[in-house]
Amino acid sequence: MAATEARQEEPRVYTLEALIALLEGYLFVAIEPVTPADVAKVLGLAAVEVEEALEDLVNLYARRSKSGLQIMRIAGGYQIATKPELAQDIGKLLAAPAGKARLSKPALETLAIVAYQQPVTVAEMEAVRGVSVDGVVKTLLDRRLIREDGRKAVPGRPILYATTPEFLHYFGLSSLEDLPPLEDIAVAEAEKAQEHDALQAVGLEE
Amino acid sequence: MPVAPTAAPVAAIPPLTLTAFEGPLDLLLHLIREHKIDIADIPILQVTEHYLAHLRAMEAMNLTVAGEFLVMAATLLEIKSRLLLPKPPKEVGEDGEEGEDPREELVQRLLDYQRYKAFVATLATWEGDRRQVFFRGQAAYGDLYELPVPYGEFSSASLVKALMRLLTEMGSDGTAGTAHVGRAKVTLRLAMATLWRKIQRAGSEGIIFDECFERPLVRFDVIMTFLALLELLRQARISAIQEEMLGEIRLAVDVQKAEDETGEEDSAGTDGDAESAESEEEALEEFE
Repeated sequence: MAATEARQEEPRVYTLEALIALLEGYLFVAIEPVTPADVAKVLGLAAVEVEEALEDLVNLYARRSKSGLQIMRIAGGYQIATKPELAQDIGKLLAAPAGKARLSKPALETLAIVAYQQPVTVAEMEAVRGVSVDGVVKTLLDRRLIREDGRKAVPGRPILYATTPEFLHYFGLSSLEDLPPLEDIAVAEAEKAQEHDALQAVGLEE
Repeated sequence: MPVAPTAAPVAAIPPLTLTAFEGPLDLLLHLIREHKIDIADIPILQVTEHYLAHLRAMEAMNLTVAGEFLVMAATLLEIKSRLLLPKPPKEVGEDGEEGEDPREELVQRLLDYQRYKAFVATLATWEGDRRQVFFRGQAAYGDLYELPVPYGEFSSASLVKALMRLLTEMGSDGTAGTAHVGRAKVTLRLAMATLWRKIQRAGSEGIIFDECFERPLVRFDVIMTFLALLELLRQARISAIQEEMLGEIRLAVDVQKAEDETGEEDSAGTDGDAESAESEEEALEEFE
């Protein structure tokens, strides 16, 4: 024990198996995404070590075909969740109200701009969309998908907006790096537009 | 992007397509796609005609044409007129670059908008996928994401909760059925003065929420005192502090305000016999 007293943290050594079991237990009770950094700090381990164990856990669950659970990489952490194929029945069992309505197209458009251009002002969002975004910004703020992020150093000092961890969680993203580069989207869009036109043409001919 | 089927492709003026457009850029993109126009080389005359026809159609349907659509119409006409103007003698640069194309800015805006618009489909897919999985505690919390209040701050809901607790604690006074409606003894002004003095006397530590109310609790007094508390908060004379979740709410003299008013406060506040009628009157006067 002499050596242990030299350090502040109790340097307990976890075997990978023990760490995985511990993390599984913690994931089970945790209501918010579990981040490797937080766990590592409490346990006195390296964040990498915890992250690797969590990744092992993700794979472990992915291989368990009989399990109804999965471990998602979401909002900068890991969280235990049900499998998508169970959605309908679980929704029924929970008898939960369908949750909040899905976001409207203007809301999604505005959110897309914030996601890529953050921090961004209302005027900048309006410049891209060509319409007023006041109401939409309020909705997004109310739903905590965006937050105020300081003020821009230009005349009038307009408020800047950025996305929140809730934004990542809402769309099932792990981090903002999951967003595809905008340039790629333009290509996909052009293809989709052609497909769309083609489909439409077929639909009309039939 | 739902697009209404077009009738005969020969029609010079587009048929009535009453799709809801998100804005002028959306409409323009629709026109460009519908007429298979190269976005980098927009025939402004043609597009302007189609665009204006659309606006006229909207007006004919008694739809209010939003100002943004008119602004775009003006922009299109402006670009058109600039294209018509004879160009100043071109000085072809060494790299063969021509003068600025008046359409350039519009094209850039359209391309930008197109990208974000395209990304909306991706976002909607993600949104749908994410809704297929459930997390622990989701039944209780639903999809209501709420960030915890930052340390040392609290929402006005905490105050309301505290009041409700107090009123519940008080319960019914058992005199249901008959009531003597007399002239209210406590006015808001008096309640404010009483509370203000109480908080002032407590110094920088302030008092906790429960101490604001005189015991035994009487519904009317509780409400008056609570109103007084809100009014004092509104006037920024006092501030409310809650240092931990579900912790006590403390009310203290707002330091900023106190500093501003030190001069006048001294006479009313630090009077040794705070109960004296004189200072009571002074305190009352303050809230006239």
